[in-house]
Amino acid sequence: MPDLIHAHYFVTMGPLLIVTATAFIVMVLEFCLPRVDARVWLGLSILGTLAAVVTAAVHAGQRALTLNSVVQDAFSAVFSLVILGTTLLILWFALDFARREPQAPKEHPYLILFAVAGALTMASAVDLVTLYVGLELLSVASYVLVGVRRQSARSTEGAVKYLLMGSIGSAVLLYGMSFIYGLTGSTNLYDLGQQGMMLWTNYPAVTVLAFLLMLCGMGFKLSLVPFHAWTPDTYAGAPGPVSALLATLSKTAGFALLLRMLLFIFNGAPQVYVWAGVISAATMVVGNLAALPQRHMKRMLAFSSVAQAGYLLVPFALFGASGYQDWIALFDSLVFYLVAYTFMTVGAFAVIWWVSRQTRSFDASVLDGLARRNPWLAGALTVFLLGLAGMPLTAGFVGKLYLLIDTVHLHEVWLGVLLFLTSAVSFYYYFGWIRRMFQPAVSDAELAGTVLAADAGVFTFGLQFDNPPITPHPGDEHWQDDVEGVRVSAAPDETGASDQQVGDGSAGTDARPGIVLQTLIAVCVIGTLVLGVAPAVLLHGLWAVGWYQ
Amino acid sequence: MSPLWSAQMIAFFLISLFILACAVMMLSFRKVVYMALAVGGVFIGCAALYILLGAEFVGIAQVVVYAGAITILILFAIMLTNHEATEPEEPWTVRKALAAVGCFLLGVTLLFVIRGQAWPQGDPSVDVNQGMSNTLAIGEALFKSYMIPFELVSLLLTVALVGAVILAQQRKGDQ
Repeated sequence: MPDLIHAHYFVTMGPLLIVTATAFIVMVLEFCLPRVDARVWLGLSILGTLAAVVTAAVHAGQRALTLNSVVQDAFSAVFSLVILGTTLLILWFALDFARREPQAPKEHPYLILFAVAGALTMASAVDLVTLYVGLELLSVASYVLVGVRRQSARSTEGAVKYLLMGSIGSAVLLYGMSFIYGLTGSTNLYDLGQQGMMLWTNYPAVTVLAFLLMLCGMGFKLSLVPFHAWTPDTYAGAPGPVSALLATLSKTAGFALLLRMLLFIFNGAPQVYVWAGVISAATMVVGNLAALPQRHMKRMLAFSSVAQAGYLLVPFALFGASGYQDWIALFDSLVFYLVAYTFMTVGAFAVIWWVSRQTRSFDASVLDGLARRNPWLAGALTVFLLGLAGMPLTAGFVGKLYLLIDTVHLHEVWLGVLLFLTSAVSFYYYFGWIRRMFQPAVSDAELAGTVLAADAGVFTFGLQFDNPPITPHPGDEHWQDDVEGVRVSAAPDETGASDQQVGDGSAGTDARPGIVLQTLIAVCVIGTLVLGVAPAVLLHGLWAVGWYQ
Repeated sequence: MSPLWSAQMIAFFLISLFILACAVMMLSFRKVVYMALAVGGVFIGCAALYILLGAEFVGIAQVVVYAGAITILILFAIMLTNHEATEPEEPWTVRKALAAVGCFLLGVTLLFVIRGQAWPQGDPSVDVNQGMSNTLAIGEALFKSYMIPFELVSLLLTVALVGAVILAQQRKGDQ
């Protein structure tokens, strides 16, 4: 019988306890002092997260198991640190968001922290029940975060779709878990790990069924094809920081849960992992092809994140074909790509949020001439897009290279070839944005036309490239003010027509991003470049943690 | 008497028929209030199944929590908002037909997998509760082995409650 008093709660659940305590403190204080600026609560949340990071780092080398349900091992240490780092980026993003949009809901800080508590549980639990409760904690907090924006039909639409699809995903996942529980009578992953071989030899059909149900259930949460339909609407409806949270933190936690659950339960059944390869292939192909015709920037990033989830699923297809020693390389590749993806995606969402806030539109045409208006933002976004596409010298390239090497090494070359080919497709839409930023600006009439067309919901194949609006402007100094003036004056007309704008009415007043957002973008750029030039920085850290120690 | 026609088996078939009938009625009704009542029927049927399986505590909890509290809550929500709401008749489209085919195939696959498998048989001479009553064993498991998930569920309920208040509050502010 477990000892309730003398368990190592702080070693195994330290970050979780700190984050939860911070969330409750922020929540109660926010209820008591409703007039205080939301940034104070965000600052408090950042402090709490920092304390959790310190705790996680201090305990990274220790190993302990609490009450058979929460563990401190290499998995939980690494994934907890990644999750907490992502949390810092997102809270930092939310800090600038709250400053620019005082009418933004104040509930963000503690809901984000509750979501993080769920994510940390998913990273460190070794019991199916605990894992599931962590997943639901993350999901419920995310549903509310998506739907929290007032007076926005898009926000509500995104939240309802996310809620329904997420609930179906939970149900499917639970159904799969119930088969495993029925066969073994245990929910503990260590027990299940010892029975893995028995499961596969005695009950092959049910094992495959359970694997598929669990993978598909998590597929809803990770927006894998064919369970990705909610993704674009939800990302487009959510406020900037929340979209970034859904795209990065929730995926990191989801992959952590999937990794631990599948590896422990199905370690004796190498054949079932083929299905992960099938879903990964479908996700890479459909995600990249669906991103091609998108003009709405957040929707394109959503499809891009679907495609990236496909790349992240590649290691899962390789677990069956390899032994325990090869798994280390797979863990390294997965974590490396997750970290790289987190930097690039949070950065891209931050830049997109800023640009669309200035121009009051999410249409990709607002990127036209960004390099002239704001070279620093354009440069940063170029780095993120190149990284997401997988160009050398960025973290995305190194991450994809590791995945490719893994597929060749473990004789699943077709997945590697598909990864390469779909990345080539993705160059088309990422470079479309880069071209827009660096080409000379559109004429005013054409700009108004494209914005209206986008608002009316015209998303046509190839439209982006069919009307190359290259109109060389004489007198560059005047041109810039000209276009700015038109955009600001055009803003009120659009306010009534569409509800995809982010701001409250004070947009367009400050042309430069504040120091908070600049720091965030700079951190993401540095992360993307450093990991691209010197990947050893992260790999040595992973090596020091030691996956099997 | 063959095991197929024991009293328990007959009860099982009757209860299953009741659950399925209620579920189908829930889907086919057009009035929201009737749907809520049909869901209540499903909950009560499930409770009967649990009691038949010897899990009397879960069965009673099912009646108290689901059939009692949750169905009544749904009914209250419907009465307070728009209790006249009816779902419009939707015509059959290609998409719906494909979805139906997909569901049918999924059901057939599940059935074949489940029926085609020799399931582990429990040993009736072993007492899984180690001499304790059901309720006592559940309490022991809940507050000892499953302490941490139990505490996390309370966190989850807090988030759900706060989230519901936030969303409802804003809806009021919008009007």
